[in-house]
Amino acid sequence: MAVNKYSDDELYSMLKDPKTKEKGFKALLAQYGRGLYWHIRRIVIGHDDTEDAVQETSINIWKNIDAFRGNAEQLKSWIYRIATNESLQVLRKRTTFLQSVDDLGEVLTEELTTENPLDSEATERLFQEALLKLPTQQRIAFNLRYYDEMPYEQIAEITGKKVGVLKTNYHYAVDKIKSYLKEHA
Amino acid sequence: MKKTDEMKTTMPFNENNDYIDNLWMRAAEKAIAQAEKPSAKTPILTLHRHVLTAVATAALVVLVTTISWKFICKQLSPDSSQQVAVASENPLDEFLGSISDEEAKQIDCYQITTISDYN
Repeated sequence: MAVNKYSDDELYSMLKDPKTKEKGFKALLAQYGRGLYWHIRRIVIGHDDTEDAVQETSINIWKNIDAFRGNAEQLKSWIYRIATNESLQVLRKRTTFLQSVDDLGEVLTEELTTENPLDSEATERLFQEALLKLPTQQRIAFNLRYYDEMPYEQIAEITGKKVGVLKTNYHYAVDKIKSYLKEHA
Repeated sequence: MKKTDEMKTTMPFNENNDYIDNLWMRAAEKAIAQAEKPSAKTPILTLHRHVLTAVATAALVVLVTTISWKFICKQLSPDSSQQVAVASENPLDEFLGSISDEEAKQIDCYQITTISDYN
């Protein structure tokens, strides 16, 4: 499966034409699917939960393509936004009454330990544990900036937060991760 | 805190790209199939929803009208104590209360005989 086979303009045109909509949809997922999968996985951590979020993301992209009013450049942000919302939805299902997704840190850390391959580096595992100590919104902002190397403006489109808030979130996250690693190394 | 691209895309789990590509393709097929499937059911569901909405609206209108009507009636009609007061103030009542049974019988007889004169 070729990656970056189509430009965003080409994908957009295909999606907006009823004759090529289905082809465009599959091409879109083929092109951004891998990055999108890891984005979801970093939020929900669990393998099965990731599959659920992938399915729901796919359904919502397909269902809402006609309602998408953005331009070709915003296509990536739009699908990442859907994926983020669906991932949070999956996490919300795991919370109990009066619990928020931020309270799932311990559960997700446990899951990370269970699902993490035994040969993975200790520092990498520690790094992931540190990430799970962050509040969910901060963690998402950090992941998009650090792993996906997105500009703050694009992260703002995905999360609906202001650029200034995201910059603060990122720097707080970095500080917290550094202190956690120092403490546990 | 920079990492290599390889670590960024594959860590901390071991899913390979083929698995991920296939997962999305299966998800895409399911999404398309699911969007086509409920089309036959949609009109029935929509109809049910419309009927329920209409019934609920009608019930609400009836309830509001009844309550408003009762409230208006209560406001317009005098209460029972006022009715007694009005009745006691009626001059006819006073007149009827002042005549004896004997007088009442005479009036009755007078009325009958008077009426018979016209027959």
